[in-house]
Amino acid sequence: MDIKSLIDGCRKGETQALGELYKRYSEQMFGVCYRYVGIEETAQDVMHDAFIHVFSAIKQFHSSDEVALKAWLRRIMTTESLVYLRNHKMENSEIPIEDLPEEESIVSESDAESIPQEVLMKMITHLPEGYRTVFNMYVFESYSHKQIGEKLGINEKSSSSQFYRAKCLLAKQIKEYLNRDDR
Amino acid sequence: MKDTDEKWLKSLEKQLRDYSKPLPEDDWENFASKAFSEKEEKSQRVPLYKKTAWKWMRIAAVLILLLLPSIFVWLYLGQHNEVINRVAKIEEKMGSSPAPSSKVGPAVVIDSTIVIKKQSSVSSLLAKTTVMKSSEKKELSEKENETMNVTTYDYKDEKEGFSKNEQKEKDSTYMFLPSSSTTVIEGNLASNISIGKHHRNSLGKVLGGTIGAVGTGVLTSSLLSMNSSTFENAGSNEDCLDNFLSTSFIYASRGKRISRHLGFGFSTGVSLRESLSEHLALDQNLFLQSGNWKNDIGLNLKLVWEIWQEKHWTLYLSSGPSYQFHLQNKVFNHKGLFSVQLSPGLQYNITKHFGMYIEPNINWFLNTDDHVDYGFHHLLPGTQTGLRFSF
Repeated sequence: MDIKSLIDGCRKGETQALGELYKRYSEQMFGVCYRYVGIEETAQDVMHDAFIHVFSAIKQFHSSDEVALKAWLRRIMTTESLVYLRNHKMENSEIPIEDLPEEESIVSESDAESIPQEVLMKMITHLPEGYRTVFNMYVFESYSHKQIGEKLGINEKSSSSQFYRAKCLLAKQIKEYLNRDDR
Repeated sequence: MKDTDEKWLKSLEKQLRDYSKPLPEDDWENFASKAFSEKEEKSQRVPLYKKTAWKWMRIAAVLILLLLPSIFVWLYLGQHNEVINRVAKIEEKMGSSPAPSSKVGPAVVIDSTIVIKKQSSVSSLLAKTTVMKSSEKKELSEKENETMNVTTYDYKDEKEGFSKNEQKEKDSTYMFLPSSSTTVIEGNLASNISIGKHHRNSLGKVLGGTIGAVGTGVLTSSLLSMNSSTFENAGSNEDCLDNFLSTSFIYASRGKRISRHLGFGFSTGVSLRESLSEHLALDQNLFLQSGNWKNDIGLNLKLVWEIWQEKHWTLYLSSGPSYQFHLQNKVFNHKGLFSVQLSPGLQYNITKHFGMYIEPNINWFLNTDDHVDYGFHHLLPGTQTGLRFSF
């Protein structure tokens, strides 16, 4: 089924088209939710809720371009994940200052490339919730710290500092992983 | 992202942007059965024809709620115009005859029950008397004595409720007209803004209690329409239009649910009401009385029974006693009015916080105030409709 007839079928509410849409994009969209939520089972539930929104809102999607469709789906997944995180805010999810790395580890482009996708994903999902959220929004959704602050209801500086800490933690983990591999 | 240290982040983003993880094979089936069965269940719960019926019922209800005040306003305007027309006609007649009293014949009053102002509060109305100049008093009184059974009332005892111009004529005689020819239409337009944990009716489905302020705008018209054919010839006709243009009401209330449908609440408050009264006497003594301020202090107790409730509709019945003190022209009337009110209410909840309601009510006044001893209407119906906001 080409993308145009897929979208048209979904707009008409055809079960086959909806199923095709789900099957085609659910694995990628699961990745988006998982990156934010950090728990696989929860990410699946969040993705299901997001797809229910997708099915009810697809009539308002007026494009036959796959890139646009993917971006739209991604946005809905992100929003749904943020809603989930807001409603299930974890307490004391921040790492104490003393546990943060003293110096920022220098990570090169090649360092990041050499680490398997699955491992990188694990590193991100193991970040504290607040850091992870800001990191995801900044790196993957290209939001500015001002926009993140507005969306999460936090200070712009707070967003910036959480991102810095997330980056330090991640760099440290990457270095540790590479050092372990060297040995 | 800064170019210097963030190249690795770009690389990381590239690597993970299309990250995907295989899901269980039956994931779609599980999701579809869950998502679509919920959808079907919902649609089974309310069949389409019922949905349509509800939709039309809602539209009809909103129209009715809008129509009722419109009818009231229309009736009021009609009455107002009628009075003006009659005044114009009489003025025209008077223009052709400088001595109106000699032109008109004697009035014939069959029922001499007297209607006089009921200076109460919420349901106030009825004040009709014909004002005559003292110079005419004697002449007409002689005719009255000869031809008709009319009760007169000496103005000397009246101190309240009349303008300064009228008070100059303290020796005037008032002639009261029969109540049998009286038509009374009363209506209110009100909007309530409540602060507190209200539910969907005036009292609220409140467990913790409510305290708040209410601003109420009330437009009330009390029309006193007399049998004009009877009195036109007598040259003694008068219409009264009492319009309560605005009311502010501050109250504090506390409600508690006793059972699933029964709520009990107590409320008390102070209301200030501006009343514009137009009194038109259709003889040569045309006068207009307006800007009559009325202040009420009231205590009331209300019991609310929620008979039926669903997402958009609430049907309830409220009843309770009310005791109101009355202030007029800075004179405190210590003798309060005691009444009992019964009112069914229907509210259409347009949104969670906004609804339209209509409350027909019947008031039973158990006593009168000092100046209402003549054909006092103990039982007064009324209707209140308006908008209600809850936060």
